[in-house]
Amino acid sequence: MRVTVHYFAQLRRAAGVASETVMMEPDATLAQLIQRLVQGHGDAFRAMALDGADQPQRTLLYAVGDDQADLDRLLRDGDAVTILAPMAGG
Amino acid sequence: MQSPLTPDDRARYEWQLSAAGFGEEGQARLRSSTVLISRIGGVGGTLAYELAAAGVGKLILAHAGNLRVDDLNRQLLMSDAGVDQSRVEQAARRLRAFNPSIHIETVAENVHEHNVDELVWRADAVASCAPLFAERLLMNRAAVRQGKPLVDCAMYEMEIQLLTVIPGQTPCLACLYPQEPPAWRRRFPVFGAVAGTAGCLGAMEIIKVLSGLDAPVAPSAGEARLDEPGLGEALRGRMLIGDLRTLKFRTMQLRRDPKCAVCAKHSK
Repeated sequence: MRVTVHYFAQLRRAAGVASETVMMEPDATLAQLIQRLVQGHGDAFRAMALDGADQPQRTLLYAVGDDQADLDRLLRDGDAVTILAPMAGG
Repeated sequence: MQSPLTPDDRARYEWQLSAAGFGEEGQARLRSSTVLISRIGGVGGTLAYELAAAGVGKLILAHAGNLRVDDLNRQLLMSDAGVDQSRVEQAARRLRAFNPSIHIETVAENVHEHNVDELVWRADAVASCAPLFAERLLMNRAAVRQGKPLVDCAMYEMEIQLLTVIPGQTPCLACLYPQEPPAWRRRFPVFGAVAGTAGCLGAMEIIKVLSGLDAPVAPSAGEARLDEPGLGEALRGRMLIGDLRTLKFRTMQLRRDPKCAVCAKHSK
């Protein structure tokens, strides 16, 4: 299935793209998507996307469509996933 | 009961008094309100300017330190001649000259563990514009405990995020970030126009919350009319995400964390 991922803030810079399309197995979870994305990007992305135990970072915000989503959320073909790195610029 | 507007008030605010759902009652509410703004940089300075323009009665500005030359691409309340001088005093002078009818209080220190409760206690609403999550989370905690609305205005490079916290009703900042996010760094790319956009939007959220414009009409109430008093809605439970590279804006529906250490005990 095809999933579109949109990045925001420092994660966008680490990914080097604003958005990308990824092919995933049916019924993949959001956490599995993050692990797949890490494989396709460099160390800076990995450092932001994963925590010290190599699990998806819980200080990022995730949304499927316009709704906040948990990491165990099952994805569907055509889903648009947004990953927001925290920002506090003033 | 709000005291009536003076002739000077009516003259100064004439162009906003006719906004649907606002009127003299909304203006009087703004005049009797106090807003704490931390800090008064690119975001908070612009936000303060707009609240002064709108006639919020008292602004408490909290910001330590002196102006640096590299602040000047975004800090509109400052001046080139003010480099190496107090930021907060420059901001206060500019705001007092701009609108002498409001009160400006300066606090020449940043919000910290030992002053946050007292500063929030003296305000009706909080504008969270600091460049560090530690300060933002402190203000969020104090605002939730005291039942004060808080508007969190953030930016990075050409992106902005806005969140309005209504204690007991909406997710709070700690629902999203229970701890300081390790990835955020104090140094970030910034254009003044991006920071100022976040500040303007944040100011309008505060104006809505304080004036009574934050009063969503329930779907069952039928068709909303523009002349209904109180028509409008703050970002209740939604986060505004804006990308000024592409001028795409959207909102993301958020959820309260039922285990949130800050707001779980403050449900209504």
